Amino acid sequence: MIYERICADELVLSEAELSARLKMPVGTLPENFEECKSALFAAADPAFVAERARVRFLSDTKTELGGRVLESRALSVALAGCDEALFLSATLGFGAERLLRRYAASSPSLHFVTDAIADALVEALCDAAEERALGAEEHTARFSPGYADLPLSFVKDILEKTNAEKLLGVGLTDAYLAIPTKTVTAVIGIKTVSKGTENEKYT
Amino acid sequence: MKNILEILGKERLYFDGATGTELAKLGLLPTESPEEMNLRAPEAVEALHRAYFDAGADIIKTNTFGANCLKHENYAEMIVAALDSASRARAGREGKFIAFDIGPTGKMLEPLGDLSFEGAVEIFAKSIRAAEGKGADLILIETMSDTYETKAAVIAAKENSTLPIFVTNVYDAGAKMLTGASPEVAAALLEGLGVSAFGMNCSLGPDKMAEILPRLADASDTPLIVNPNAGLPEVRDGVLSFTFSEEAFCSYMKEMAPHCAVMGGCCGTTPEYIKALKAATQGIPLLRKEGKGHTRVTSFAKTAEIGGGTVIIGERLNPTGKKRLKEALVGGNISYILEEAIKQQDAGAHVLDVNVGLPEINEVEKMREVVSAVQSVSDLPLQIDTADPSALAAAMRIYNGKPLVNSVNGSRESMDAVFPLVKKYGGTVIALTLDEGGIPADADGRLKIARRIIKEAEKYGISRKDIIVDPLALAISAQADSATVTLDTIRALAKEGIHTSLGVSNISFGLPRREIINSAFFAAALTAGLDAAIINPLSEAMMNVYFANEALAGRDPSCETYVAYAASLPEENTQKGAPKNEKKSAAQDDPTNLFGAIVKGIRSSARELAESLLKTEEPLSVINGYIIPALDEIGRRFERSEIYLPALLASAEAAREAFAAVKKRIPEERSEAGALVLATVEGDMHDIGKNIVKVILESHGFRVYDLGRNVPAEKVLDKVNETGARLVGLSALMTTTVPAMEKTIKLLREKAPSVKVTVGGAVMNPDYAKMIGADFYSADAMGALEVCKSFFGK
Repeated sequence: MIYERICADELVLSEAELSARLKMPVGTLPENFEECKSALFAAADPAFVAERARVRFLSDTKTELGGRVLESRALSVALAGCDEALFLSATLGFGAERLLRRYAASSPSLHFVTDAIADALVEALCDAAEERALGAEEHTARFSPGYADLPLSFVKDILEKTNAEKLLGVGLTDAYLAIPTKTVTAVIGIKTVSKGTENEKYT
Repeated sequence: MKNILEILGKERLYFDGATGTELAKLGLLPTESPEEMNLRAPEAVEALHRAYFDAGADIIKTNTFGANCLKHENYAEMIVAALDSASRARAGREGKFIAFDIGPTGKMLEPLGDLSFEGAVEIFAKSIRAAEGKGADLILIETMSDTYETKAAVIAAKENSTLPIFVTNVYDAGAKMLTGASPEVAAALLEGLGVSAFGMNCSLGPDKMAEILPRLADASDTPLIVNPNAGLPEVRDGVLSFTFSEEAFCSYMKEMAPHCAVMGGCCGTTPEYIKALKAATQGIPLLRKEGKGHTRVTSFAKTAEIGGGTVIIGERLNPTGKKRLKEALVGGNISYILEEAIKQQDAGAHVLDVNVGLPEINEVEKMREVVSAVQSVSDLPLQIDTADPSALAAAMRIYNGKPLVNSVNGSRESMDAVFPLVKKYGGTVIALTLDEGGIPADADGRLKIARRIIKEAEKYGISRKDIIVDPLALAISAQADSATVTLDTIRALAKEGIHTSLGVSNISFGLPRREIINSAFFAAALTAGLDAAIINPLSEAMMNVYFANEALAGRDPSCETYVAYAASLPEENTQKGAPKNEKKSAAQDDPTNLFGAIVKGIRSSARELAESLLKTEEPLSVINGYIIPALDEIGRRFERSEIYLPALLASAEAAREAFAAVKKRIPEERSEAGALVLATVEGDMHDIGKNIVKVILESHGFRVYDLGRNVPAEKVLDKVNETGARLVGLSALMTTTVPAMEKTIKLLREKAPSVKVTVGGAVMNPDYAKMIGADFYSADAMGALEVCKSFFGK
């Protein structure tokens, strides 16, 4: 298990991600961008937990992952070629959550821009987490609960596997929304299929 | 058998160590939670308790950390079995105690999460009731990383048991709890709630806890507990272990021992650690507590210390003399209330007064609603201001922190009503110097009442440091010597070491240009020794006095704060003339006129410019000549992709400010383009899209009744019935919450069939909208605007 806190200033915001979230062309930023970024970076407490788990393919649509059997063709495709997966929980913490609540009450423009930066920041946190947890290992893209046919309820398994409640303070609402809301949970396939294993036929 | 309270604070007591990891050595299955072992293998649980008792622990924690109704249906059975195992282990051993252990529920409380405060209280209460009379000597509430959940557990314990209550919280290496509380905040909260001992457990090793402990020790006289981890977790050969040996662990524990009435361990510690701990520290004397005198009120994250510099209590959330606030309270416009709270915080208030007393509303419900809502956006401590004991009780119960309570007075009725609440929920209370005989005419009379109130409070166990006296400021227009009497009383109280607070602006009631009198009186009161002042922090005149006084009193080293404040003021000799009276200036983005300010999205000047224009132009002329054309221009630029959503929002906010200024001048029904109810549906916490829709609609003159997020269907219906709104807007961002949208629409069809519904949100599309019975769908905020314009025929 890897558990780390990373200072927001160390994370690199993707221009493409920012552009998509701000709904603006790449390279253009709103006037209040620096104001929002400073406030968010001061409030955020980025942290992640990553834990490895065995992958076992039971069929084209069924995968056993971390002790749970999941019916999801998309997951099987995403993890094809992998013996192991990384469970990842990453969050910006409650300080960022409260800042967004405050802006939601006082200024939709600050709220919108700060929310967009927060989305980009948590993705940057996930990128950093992947790098620190996997290094040079070949791996798949992140795949999160709710994508395609992977049930949203799988978020509970990821949080449990990474002990996110205790280490990151992340909880879950009845509708499977992680709190703090700027939290990402994902699985990442690690491409190390051993020869002669059952998984090989699913490469 | 001694009561633990007879020993606590006189001799050091020792807790046991880790439970989960030790049970794993005794057969805990990987798929099993520790509390399940109480039923499957009680002998193993008993063996662990025996091992800790044998190692020297005085107190063992029952194996019930996660035994609550949320996690286990058979939680009660688990709790009884756990206490049985503990009792068997304790049998025949003198001077050993059993702590009924309560851990977190695993859910985040509102407003951050979806578990209500009362819901959390009930979850803890159920567990405590199951344990009652089964052999526990105390209740330990542990590993709590949120002050609100901690409070819920303590309240549940106080209401369902007479056992002593110990609390340990989790701090990070930065000395903060997960949801932001510092040690000072936790200490004030827990001391106020009257727990028998409190401190820290888990997350940190003793080295880091040793850095935090002095702050807890300084903050409170309550006995302290430390149960650290055995250092940091690390994985060696696939096995989780901790970095500190017994020796290293004990070296830091020895450092903390003089200040700790109770010591033990958490993750990674074993019976061997506890044995070594006891051997290393039992000879170290426990320091006597010295009677710390901090007068602190807190939110969940911030403290305001009375007596450490002037405390500004923002007065703007009080409907007396404030028409817009009255309307917002009666109309349920929580947004306006929250904006006023944030403005006061941004202007430098340290505490916010909350008063919702109006004959037209249910003060108890409104106080609960407003206190919760303000705490969701502001981390300042609040002053709960009401004469209604029921409203006071309701607010103090759900308040996250230690509140300032306004007020008690010297009458028997008042003290009998207020002091029990302060004793139960914690708080620092403002004592008004009046009683059944009225307000004494001189300082001496007021001082006598103050002393009597303090003495009465002590009978309830409320310390003198938690009483702040308000010497009362009566209007000088009615009583010429009023100011002198008040100032004399402040001086007399200060001489006796009694802190003071004052509603400053009362002095000028009935006089013109009140700020002149208020600011002069404020300065005089501060010089006399006033500690806290209820003022308008948005008043430049009053804040000038505050910052100047801080510098003059020597509390502003190098006048740094004063210099920063002075730099923030508008430049001297700035002429604020009437703006250019041009509907479309050649320089359309010229921010010195209202059109340009809206186009440029300069919210701060838009309202000012609108108010200035209203001096010479009719309200409808301002709307049709400036605001609407500016919005049309910004809409065109957005459609041509010359500007983007952030700029559109900034302009909408500026237009909304301008509209707010105009609306004051014209009857409401004429100022509105139409009214609708807006909500994010039940179970959904996303509101950014909804908020964008709201500001766009408001900037175009629509009245929006915003119910917020996670809104049950019934609440939407209630609002429709209350307001007569003919249109409802619903937002959902998650597939799991679309059914809630459908449920809301069904309910409206049944109970309010004439109401139309428009829907939106990332998860919505025209097909879904049709499927769930919506009348309209919009993909974005501008689409929602078109729906409204079309619906209301604009």
